[in-house]
Amino acid sequence: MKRKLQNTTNKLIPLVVILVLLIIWQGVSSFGLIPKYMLPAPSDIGKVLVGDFPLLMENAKVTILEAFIGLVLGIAAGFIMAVLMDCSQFIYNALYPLMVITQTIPTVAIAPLLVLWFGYGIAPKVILIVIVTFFPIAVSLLEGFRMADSDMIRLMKTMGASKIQIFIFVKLPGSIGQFFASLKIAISYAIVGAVISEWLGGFSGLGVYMTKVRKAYSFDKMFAVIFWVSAISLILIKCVGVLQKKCMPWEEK
Amino acid sequence: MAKLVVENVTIAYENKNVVEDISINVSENEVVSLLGVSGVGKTTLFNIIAGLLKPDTGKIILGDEDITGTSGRLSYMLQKDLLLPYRTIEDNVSLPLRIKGMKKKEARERVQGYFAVFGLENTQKLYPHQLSGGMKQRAALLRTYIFSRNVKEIILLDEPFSALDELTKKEMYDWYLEMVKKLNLSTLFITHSIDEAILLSDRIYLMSGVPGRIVEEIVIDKTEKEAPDFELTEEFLAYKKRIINCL
Repeated sequence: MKRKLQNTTNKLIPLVVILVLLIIWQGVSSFGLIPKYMLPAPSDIGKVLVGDFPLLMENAKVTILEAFIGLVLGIAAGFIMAVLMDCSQFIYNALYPLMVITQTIPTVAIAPLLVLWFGYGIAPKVILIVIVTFFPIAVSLLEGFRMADSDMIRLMKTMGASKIQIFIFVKLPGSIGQFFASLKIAISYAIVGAVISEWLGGFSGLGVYMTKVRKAYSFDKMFAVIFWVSAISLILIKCVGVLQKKCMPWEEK
Repeated sequence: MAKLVVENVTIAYENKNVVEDISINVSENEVVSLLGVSGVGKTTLFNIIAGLLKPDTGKIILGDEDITGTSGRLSYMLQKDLLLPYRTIEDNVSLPLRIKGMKKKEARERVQGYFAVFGLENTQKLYPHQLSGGMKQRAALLRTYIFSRNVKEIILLDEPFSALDELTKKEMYDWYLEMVKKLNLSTLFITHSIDEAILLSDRIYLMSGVPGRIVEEIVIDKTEKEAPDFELTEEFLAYKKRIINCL
């Protein structure tokens, strides 16, 4: 009972903090301490969110689709990289620095180049998302593979297991926890990556919509998009958490 | 006739012998212990027997076959239970069959009958964290047994009970001896516990020195061993004294 109460309190604390911040923000904006064109009130943003909901949904569909395709390809690329680096120290030495370098290039710098090379379609957006998402996946999976219990591997060898069987029975399932932790990071990177790539060119999507409303100085609409992007990321992270619980029943103690 | 023969095995690391000229054997339905202090080379010798290491000289013969440097021929249970936390007990136990290429469903069906024999009723669908320490060891031992049934029915145990508390240990000794009788198990096991070696074994090889060598072979009398409260008898103490003197 006491534990349950503690859990409820833990969940309520961040909500209360957010509510207090919103109240302060509303007050600052309503009393004119900061002009509304610079910082629209949460109530105004809420009105936009409700009023423009169909338009936001329409654009969100495009952004989510781009993020989804990019994330799937990013997971595939990260998985292949991690497997290759785990199999061979030579490949690890050759690829790991290159992988780190890809993460040191700012996405806003690389996005216009991708648009220049691949046009205004979905391709440059997906490529950018792949670049930002494969890294956390590859690093976490590799760490998971390398953390496999050496005694367990020894036991598998005494049973005559092949390298592939050791990978399938020990290394791969043993790294699921790390995979989900990195997926939570990658999924938010994917949404942000999609929005950034849409800023620099495209026909629809939340990034394109954001650029349009910024040019029209509709900051309440811009804030509404920011809220919407955050909400999408939070919902997706929550979905990953639910999926993780489903995929890892042994973790429920 | 000896089922497993280790013949004049020597292995060196960085030009230094770790174990030297080891010759031991295990016969049908016999429990043999390898007793020695930590670091004497017992686990290295086990790795050689299990085929994970190739000796510099000497041979490992199973039945009439030379299996030196070949893994996958002898079932091996290590100090930890090493049950995969993400697999149910039945999937852990059937792992050796899966490695041999059997389909999941068939492998599961094949192991069902052994759960009751090993005192693991109704644990098939549980995960390892849901079992007690003793039950986990039983499950690990069942997995080893399932593997041994596929090969030559000889089991290598590397300090299998060392992580258990004293009371559970005692319970596990009785249970294991019962299993040995019931399933005609031939066992070679490593221990550094003198009491454990005397209580469980038919024969004990004492390993000592640097490099590790067999310094003595002690046969435990069966009638003495089957006496009630054997560990409280004078005979038990005599064995213990003899072992301490040798080591």
